[in-house]
Amino acid sequence: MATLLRQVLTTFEQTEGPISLNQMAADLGVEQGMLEEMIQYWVRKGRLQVSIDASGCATCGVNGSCPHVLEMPRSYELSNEDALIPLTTIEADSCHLD
Amino acid sequence: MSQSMQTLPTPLTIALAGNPNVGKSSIFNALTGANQHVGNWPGKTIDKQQGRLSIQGREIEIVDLPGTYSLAAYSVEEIIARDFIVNEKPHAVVTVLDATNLERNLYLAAQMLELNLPLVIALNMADEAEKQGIEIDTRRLSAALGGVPVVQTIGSRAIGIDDLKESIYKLAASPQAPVIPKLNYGPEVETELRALEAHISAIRPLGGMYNPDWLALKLLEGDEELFSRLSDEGNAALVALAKAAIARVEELTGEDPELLITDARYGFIAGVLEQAVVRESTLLETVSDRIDKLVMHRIWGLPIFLMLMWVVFQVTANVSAPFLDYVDYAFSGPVSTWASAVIGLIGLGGTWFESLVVDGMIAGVGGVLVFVPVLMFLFAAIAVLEDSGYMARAAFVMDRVMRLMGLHGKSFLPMLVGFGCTVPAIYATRTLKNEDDRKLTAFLVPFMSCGARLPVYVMFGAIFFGAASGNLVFAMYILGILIAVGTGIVMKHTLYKSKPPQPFVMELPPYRMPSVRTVWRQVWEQTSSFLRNAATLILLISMVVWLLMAVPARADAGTFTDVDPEHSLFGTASGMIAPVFAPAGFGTWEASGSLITGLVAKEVVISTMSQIYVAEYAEEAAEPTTFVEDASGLVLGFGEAAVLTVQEVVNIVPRTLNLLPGLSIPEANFLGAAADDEDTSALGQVLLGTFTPLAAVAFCVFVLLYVPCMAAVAAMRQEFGTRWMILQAGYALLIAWGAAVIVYQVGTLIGLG
Repeated sequence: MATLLRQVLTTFEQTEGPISLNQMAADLGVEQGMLEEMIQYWVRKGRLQVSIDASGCATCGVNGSCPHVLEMPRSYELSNEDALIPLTTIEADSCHLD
Repeated sequence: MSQSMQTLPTPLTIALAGNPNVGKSSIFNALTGANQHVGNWPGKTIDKQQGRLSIQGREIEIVDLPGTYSLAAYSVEEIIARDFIVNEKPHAVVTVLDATNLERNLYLAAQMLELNLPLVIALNMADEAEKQGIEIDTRRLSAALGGVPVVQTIGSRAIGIDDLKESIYKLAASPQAPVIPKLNYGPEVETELRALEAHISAIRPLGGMYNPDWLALKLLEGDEELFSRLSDEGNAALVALAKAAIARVEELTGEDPELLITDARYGFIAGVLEQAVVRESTLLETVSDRIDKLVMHRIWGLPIFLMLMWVVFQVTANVSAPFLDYVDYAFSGPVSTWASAVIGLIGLGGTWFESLVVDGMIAGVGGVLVFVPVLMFLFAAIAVLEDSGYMARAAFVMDRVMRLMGLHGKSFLPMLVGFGCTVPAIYATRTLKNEDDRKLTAFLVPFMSCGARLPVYVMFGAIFFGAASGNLVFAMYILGILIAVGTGIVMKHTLYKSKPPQPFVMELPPYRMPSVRTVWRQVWEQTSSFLRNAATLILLISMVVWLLMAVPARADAGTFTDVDPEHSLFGTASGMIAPVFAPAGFGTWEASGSLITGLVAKEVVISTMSQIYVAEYAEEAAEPTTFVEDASGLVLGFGEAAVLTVQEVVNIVPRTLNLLPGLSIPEANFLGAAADDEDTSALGQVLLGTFTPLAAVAFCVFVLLYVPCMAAVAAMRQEFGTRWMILQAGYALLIAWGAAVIVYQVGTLIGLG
């Protein structure tokens, strides 16, 4: 029988659509907090990655955050060879609101 | 007790451990009071907090370890905490656990138990846990953890601190390691553990330095930091043995031993939770769960999302209408009149300067500021949805739709940002890890209708469709999504054939009542950014447009500031491209000129129209007013706008319910006239004579789809290069023109013109 940690990774690999953390925890029969820890295990192992929040634009000089963006929750997905480009590398002067 | 204490060394050292943000510092402060000092961990820049307390005359040194999630060696904090516990061997460890997130915090506690040290658990934030319906039986928890003392604390209020001190004292007086129920790591791991333990015990200095059980476990977990340290200390042979053991476990089980060990810890934690914790939410379906079942339903999720958006745009267009009229009255009436009066007082009345201020700056910027109430209502409606927790669900629902059409599900997140502003939305494509997905999503983002385009729809909607203006606004947003999705499907199946996108897991926050403060903060931040734009970019463009409209294109067309606008530089240049828009029903130089300046920023479409049209209208229709009339008009107008706004808010319910067949609920009518029966704005009157309703819709379609603004073009170039920027801008212009022509021509053919 597959370990619980392995089941977490398998769920990522086999799920066809997006799934909420809550739903995944219920499906696996674990507490959500524990599932987050298990996901972190795979993040440390490089098999999953935490997606950068779309609200973390960080390009805007207006009080350090863009007022137009929506706060979106964290999400996780399988890692692949393409690395995410850190949003903090965007030039700070590229904001048109200044 | 005092006898046994006399045999203890002085002072005793107690380590304070815990995950970050569990209230460890408040417990440290409550234990040590002002008797603290701060240093640095050897060779690290991380603060080392130490404090002293005295329990029944015995001095105790408390060392506050950095917050860590585990005792692995993934971060500097973890290495510091582990080294201190393993090397300094404190007399006891107090592990602080967040009672509201016990399942997460217990992982560190489980690792502490593996160290076989005297341990006290401080179960902090017990009050918060109780509020959240989490019931923790401390006696059962203690039993499940092998008899470790468990003390409930509320560090921020120093509650439970005396009990904690007592537990520390007792433990220090009679140190007893917990009798932890032995974790079963599986036969393959256990065999290798026993063998490694035997090796470690046989190596004299090592067996005394480390707990052999713990060291064997860490080596089998493949702890690189320990491998390196042991090799440096001359124990390379042990490292080689450990690596061979790992390989054997992997061969036998097909799994990394670290995974098996970690999994066993989670199994242990699950057992502890089952014995000691009862949650209301596990017994009852939460309200959030029930709402989610409806709003995230596979079939109903999308219609509910669309219905909510429809309500948002109804609210935006109708509820804001009274204040929109009021601000328009203020700028076209009293503000312009008073500005002319002041300019007259300084002797510049009737000069080009008055024309620049009144026809250029006030007409241009004022024409845009008129729409501030509209934007504030839109920002407020979106903020309410966001703060309630719904927007995350909307992204989820739309994600399914995007994926059904072959697009990456997460493409909708930047698109959602695009409803606010295209520029950060283009940068937000960086959340996509695949370069092709990034380029494709950025290509589609400009079709999401940003906030700057909204005033154009609202203006034309109010003028030509009255109370149904919200439907026009809603239709524009939906059309933008459909064009983006259609373009995406075509590109995904032609230019960007790639493997299907991978799914993702998203945290969904619980629903909550939106906070007035949060909503207001968002409304203010977004509105102030719009106002900054109006005070800078739009003001500048208004002055440039005024100048171009003041200069005759030919010598015989007039003189500076005394020229028919059509024959000015601006009018002549706009007139040259006007025929291009004739098939779309708005082939006038005025419309073309507005669209050209709109390339800079979409708000400028309105400001340019105000400058072009209103100057003429004001000259024809304005009647002189006194200062008192203007002032009373402003005061009374504000009151009337406030009453009519309340009326429109009240009417949201009947207006929405009346969509259902057979229902005809009467709407409120406080002042005997609907707020949006007829657009009486200065610009509205002129546009009614120059556009047909069909041409107005075609114009809105063009504004929706063509290049959003120069800043967005620059962002596209910065992120994806000049070629991609030109391709997107060219495509957007083509699709905008094609869609506007189709709307106008098909509408005319079927008799809507």
